[in-house]
Amino acid sequence: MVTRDPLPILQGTLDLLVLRTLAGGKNHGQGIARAIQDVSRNALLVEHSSLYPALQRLEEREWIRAEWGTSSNNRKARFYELTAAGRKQLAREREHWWRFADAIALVLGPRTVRGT
Amino acid sequence: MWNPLTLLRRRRRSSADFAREITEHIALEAERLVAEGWSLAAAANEARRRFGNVGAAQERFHDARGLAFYDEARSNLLFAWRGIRHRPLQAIIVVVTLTLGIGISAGAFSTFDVIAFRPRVDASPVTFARVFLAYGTDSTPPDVPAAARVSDYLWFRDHVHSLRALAGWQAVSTTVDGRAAATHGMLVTCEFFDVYAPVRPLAGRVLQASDCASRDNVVVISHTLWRDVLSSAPDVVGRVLHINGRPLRVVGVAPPFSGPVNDANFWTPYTMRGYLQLGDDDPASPTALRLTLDGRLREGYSRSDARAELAVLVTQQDVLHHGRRSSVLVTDGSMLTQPGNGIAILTIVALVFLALACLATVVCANVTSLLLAVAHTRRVEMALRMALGSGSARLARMLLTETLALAAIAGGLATVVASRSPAYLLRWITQRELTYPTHPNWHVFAFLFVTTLCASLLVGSAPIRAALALDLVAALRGLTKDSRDGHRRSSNALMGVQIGAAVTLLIAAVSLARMSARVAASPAHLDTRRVLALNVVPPDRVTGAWSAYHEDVARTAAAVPGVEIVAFGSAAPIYDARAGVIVVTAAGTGKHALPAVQVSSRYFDVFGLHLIRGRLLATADDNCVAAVCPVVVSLETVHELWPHEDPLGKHVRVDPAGELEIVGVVSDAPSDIAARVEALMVYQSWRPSQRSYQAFARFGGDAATASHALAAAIADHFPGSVAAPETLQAFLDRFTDVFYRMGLAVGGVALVAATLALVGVYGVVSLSAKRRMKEMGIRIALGARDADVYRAMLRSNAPPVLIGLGVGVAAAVGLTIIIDRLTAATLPIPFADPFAFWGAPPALGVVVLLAIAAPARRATGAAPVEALRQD
Repeated sequence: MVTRDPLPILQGTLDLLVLRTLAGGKNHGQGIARAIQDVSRNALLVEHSSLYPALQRLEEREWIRAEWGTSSNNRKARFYELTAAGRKQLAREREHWWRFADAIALVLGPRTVRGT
Repeated sequence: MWNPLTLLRRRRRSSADFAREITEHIALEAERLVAEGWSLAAAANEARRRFGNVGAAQERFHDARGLAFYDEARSNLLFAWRGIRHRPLQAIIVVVTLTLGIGISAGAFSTFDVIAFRPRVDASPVTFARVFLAYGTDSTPPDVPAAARVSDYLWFRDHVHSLRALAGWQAVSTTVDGRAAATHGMLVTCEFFDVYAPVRPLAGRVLQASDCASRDNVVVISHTLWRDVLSSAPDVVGRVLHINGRPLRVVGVAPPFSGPVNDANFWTPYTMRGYLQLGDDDPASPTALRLTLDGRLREGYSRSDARAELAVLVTQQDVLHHGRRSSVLVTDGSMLTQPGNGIAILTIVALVFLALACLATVVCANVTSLLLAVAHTRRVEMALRMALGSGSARLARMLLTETLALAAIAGGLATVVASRSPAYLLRWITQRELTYPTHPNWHVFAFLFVTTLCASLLVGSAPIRAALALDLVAALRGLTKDSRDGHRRSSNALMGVQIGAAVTLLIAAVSLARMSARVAASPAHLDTRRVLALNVVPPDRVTGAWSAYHEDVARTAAAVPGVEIVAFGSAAPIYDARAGVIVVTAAGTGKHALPAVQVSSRYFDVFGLHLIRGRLLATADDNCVAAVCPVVVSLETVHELWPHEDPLGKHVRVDPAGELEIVGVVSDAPSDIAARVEALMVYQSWRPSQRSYQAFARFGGDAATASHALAAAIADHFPGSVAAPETLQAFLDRFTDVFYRMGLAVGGVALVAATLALVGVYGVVSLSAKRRMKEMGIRIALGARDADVYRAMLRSNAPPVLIGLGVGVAAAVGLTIIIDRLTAATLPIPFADPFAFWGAPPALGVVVLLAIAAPARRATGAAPVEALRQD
């Protein structure tokens, strides 16, 4: 089996990933980083320390809000959740991403098996 | 809305939160890893590794908040505070020096601002507008913008929309019963107090529209007049005051307020002009009333709006006056914007600021020297900071903050100087109470801010460069390995600059302060102490009977004991602004504009002007109506027009029409050292029946006695009239006294600059001596004597001193040439004072040598053994 190295997050896509993750419900920083990694089947590697400036940015734009709570294993954690504005932003960014990805796909052409 | 307080509040919460959040994050990750089977210790390490650089995260988080600037500013301020605390003496010297420099500059600026850059109104200067009209015809261009005709004022007042109030005024000088001297007052339109509002009367009321319409004999008097003439009588309203001998009913007492005329003591409707015998009421007369117009802009309108509207209105008026072409000028009412003033005032301002630039140069050079010395002592600290990773930019910001902090303290202290100095300075120089506001406005604060900022950047840049140009290894080992040549060059330059600026200022100060002594030492060629100008304000206009009036004045004055001769003239031969100018054309020499006075036959005897050639004017020459009238000219006029010919019998044409014949040549009136242009004079025969002339009396004995006797005789003989006799010398003394006081003021500034320069030189030489102790020790070890050490110190420090002195003298020469050109017709003698040029530079040079000698003396004590022991 060919093991693949995790991909670094493309610049500018971390906000979208965080918003999408929080669309599933409130979560703390470590949970968000872990969720992105798990959902992407370890294809995407979130450097945990770079997550926080993104969270802070989103919070300042009032797309997410945060409050301290208790995690499932009874630890204090700061939980983030999507605001209404955040939901709209997520929709916009998703739309934008799909258009972008489709365009890239059109340029690259049909997917082929490596080496053929 | 963005609010910095909100930002700071959020920052406090988030900083604590963030640290906690990261801790919890790492703990959660570690627990997850433990659940996956990692050992506790390994899980903790892995969680920290996976998280990445905690410090970098915190920094990014912080930067993203935009708070890095505040943090750095805070730590820079702490650094500045530590610097000030550790070196309080240096900090105090820097602050005091900068305060002197900024304070004196700002004080001078503030004084100019008060005098020339703003209108003299108490309230809302931004809405104030002064309107000037320039009248011309189809064939001649408009004159210099000046006062307006009454008909134009009334048209403007009734139709203008961009001005909510428009008033006109004319200053007058009259007699007021109960006062010995002529009193200044104003003929005003009845809107005057609306423009200069708020003026709440101390008693009664101010003028109102009906006063002008009804031509009521009413007057509003000043609080001074109320106090001096009416003894502050509570029943002042309704009392009758005689102005120019005519009764006027007092309707109110005005409090002190800023008006367009200094020390005006009464305000009466302009419709009283004829009644008060102050001139024609006939608007068609050439001497008809002209009003200076002041207005207030209506909200939403600018001065250019007002100008545009008034230009349209005046064009409508031009249609009514065949062939008239007028233009309008609207200014902010400051002296600077008054037509004809701009260039003169700006030149004076430029010269004063040149002097202030000298002071600023000395101050900045001085502080720079001191900060360079401080930077030298801090090189190990700076090297350590650089070695520990502080970047050059960061260090530069820290050092700049320190300088800015010191400059800000100085700026704050200078604000007090700038606020207080104009009032004190102007009162002291003019020796009069001020009747206009002297508090600083935003111009002054902007000047202070810019000056403080520039000063801190100027004085801070060299020490910062020196600190950043360190050889780290050498500095950390405690060695001085910075560029010796570079340091010496900058020290020498600073020393030269300080000396040059100080000597320029000293020369200017000595020239100004010695002016009165120089005037006294080289008197004019006429007897200024034995001639009294009577300064009579006639009681009435004596239409058609001026001849009799003049004869009466002459008889009355001649009867006073001690009075020897009485004569009349339109002005005194020198120092008199009332002298006219005639444009003459002499055959073969082109046109010449020459000062001219109209005089009676005894005028020359009164002033002691000697006849050199031909004859003097005689009584038969009076009221000349012939095609060619006789004139006497001064010797300098002959040199100007016919340097190699006999002037007698020569004819000159006079613009616009007329011809004169030179019948005599008299001696020049001004002193030998006055500018030659002042000696030009044409003496025309007077026309005693046509207008009022000034009387001059030659007397023997005491001036004060003769003056009192003459004043009493005039007052007795001409009821309602006043005379304020004064010798030409008294006028001259008053005139030169102003220059003497200005000289003292500039002298004070020069003294400050010179002291600072000396301290600066001492500091530079001291530092240089300290650095050269080893060299001197070696020299002494090799057999050098004290004289050799002095010589060595002098040789290295003398060139910048000499260059500085040379450049300073050259700058002073340039300055005096400019001042002499500007003031040739005003100052009785040239501004350039040879004594100042010969005296000030050597005096400063000697003191500078002493400042060099003191540190050099220390160098002679260098111990050879110690010097040889140093590595």
